[in-house]
Amino acid sequence: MKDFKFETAMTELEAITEWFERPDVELDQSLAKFERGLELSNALKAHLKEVENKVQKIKQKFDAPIRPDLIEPDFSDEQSDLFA
Amino acid sequence: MNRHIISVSEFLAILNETLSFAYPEVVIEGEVSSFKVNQGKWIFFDLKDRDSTLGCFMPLFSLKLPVEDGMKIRVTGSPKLTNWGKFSFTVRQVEIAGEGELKRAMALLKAKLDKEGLFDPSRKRTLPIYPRRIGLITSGQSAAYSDFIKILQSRWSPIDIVLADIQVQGAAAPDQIVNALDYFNIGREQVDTIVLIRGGGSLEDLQAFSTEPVARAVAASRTPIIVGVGHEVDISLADYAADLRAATPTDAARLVAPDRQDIARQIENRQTIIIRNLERIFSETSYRLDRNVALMSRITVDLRTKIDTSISRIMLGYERYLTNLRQTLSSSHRILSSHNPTTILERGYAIVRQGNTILKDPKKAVVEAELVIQLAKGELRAHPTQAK
Repeated sequence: MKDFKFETAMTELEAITEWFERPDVELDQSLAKFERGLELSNALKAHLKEVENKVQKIKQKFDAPIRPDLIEPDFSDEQSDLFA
Repeated sequence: MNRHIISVSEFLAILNETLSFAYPEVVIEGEVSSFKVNQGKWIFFDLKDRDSTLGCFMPLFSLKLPVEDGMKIRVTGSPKLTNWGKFSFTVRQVEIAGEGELKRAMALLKAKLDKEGLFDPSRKRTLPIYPRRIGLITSGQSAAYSDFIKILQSRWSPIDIVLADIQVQGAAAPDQIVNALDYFNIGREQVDTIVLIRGGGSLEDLQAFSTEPVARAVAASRTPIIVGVGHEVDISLADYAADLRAATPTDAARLVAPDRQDIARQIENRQTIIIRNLERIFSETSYRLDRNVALMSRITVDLRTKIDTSISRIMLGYERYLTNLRQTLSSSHRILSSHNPTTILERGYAIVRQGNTILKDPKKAVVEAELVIQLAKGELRAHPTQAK
């Protein structure tokens, strides 16, 4: 269940539900769909079991810019000619 | 007296050293006038009070707030003499003094960014419904942080929360927020959604979230972003720029992930719908089967009726045929009986034979040859004497 994608399973379950609400469905098809729907909803319900969310704190400090091109240029030399 | 002679540059350097030693960092409050931007990089303005004016200089990138003439601000920096001997105050940081001024500055900035389309509803993206990994930007010490974690835990799991622990107020806050946003957006840490939050406070406390760089960084975020700053009534510019605005940090926890109870109910409902419909399909199918069986048996009954009818028709025909036959037979019998020679002999007639020939013409008879006359009750033998 590691690769279980909640959203994908939810979407598939919804599609099966909608299929079942159509008026003209075949019995033999509906049995296969029913089994898949049950499998999905059980997996989804199992996924809903409460587990602890994990918090991971980034060690890096955010005082300095993250991207090298965002580093503020050193203007100390240029500044003087502007007062002429 | 041995006079010590120094160069102009040396003198200015000594003065600058003295100034920076005496005033390494000064905070001055005053009103802005003659504000102008030079070469798109430098800012010059005067800071005034009733009696005096001070020339100020700062690089454009250090200015995080919109400033215009007449605005009352607080500048932090140090005094400096330029190489031309001109006195100037080098500003490192600008704060806006007073709530009224702050509101005015915010309104100005909001109008500007709004005009650029930064807050346009069409820019807002849909957030992932079930995030696996979220980037949380806030102060790790704050109540906003613990509220968010608590509410999120009660709603949805498992989520990996990557915390960028930053200062949410003060001079360093805007840069830290921008850098943390960059951190998530350049892919150092891949997350589904970014959440930027801060608890309530005064307008000044929340100011970092209404600075231009923060508003721009939020709007530019590649990852969908929720911003929840202050209380319900506080709306920062970052709120406007976000994909989704949360009223409070707790509200952000409600918006970032669904509630497991709701989802459990949804799954349950779908399961019920599927089962109910399967039952319906079963009963419809068996109804159809029943109907077909009924149809079949009706066809059989019809067929049997038809066969019966045919049989009785055949029987009737046969009987009629027999009757006809019988009638035909009896009339034939009658005809036959009426033609029986014995019956005619009974009425007194006779058959006359000579040899094997029945005589009908006397001229054909042979005189003196024996005649056999057959009567009803026997024979007479005679010899004709003459024929006439």
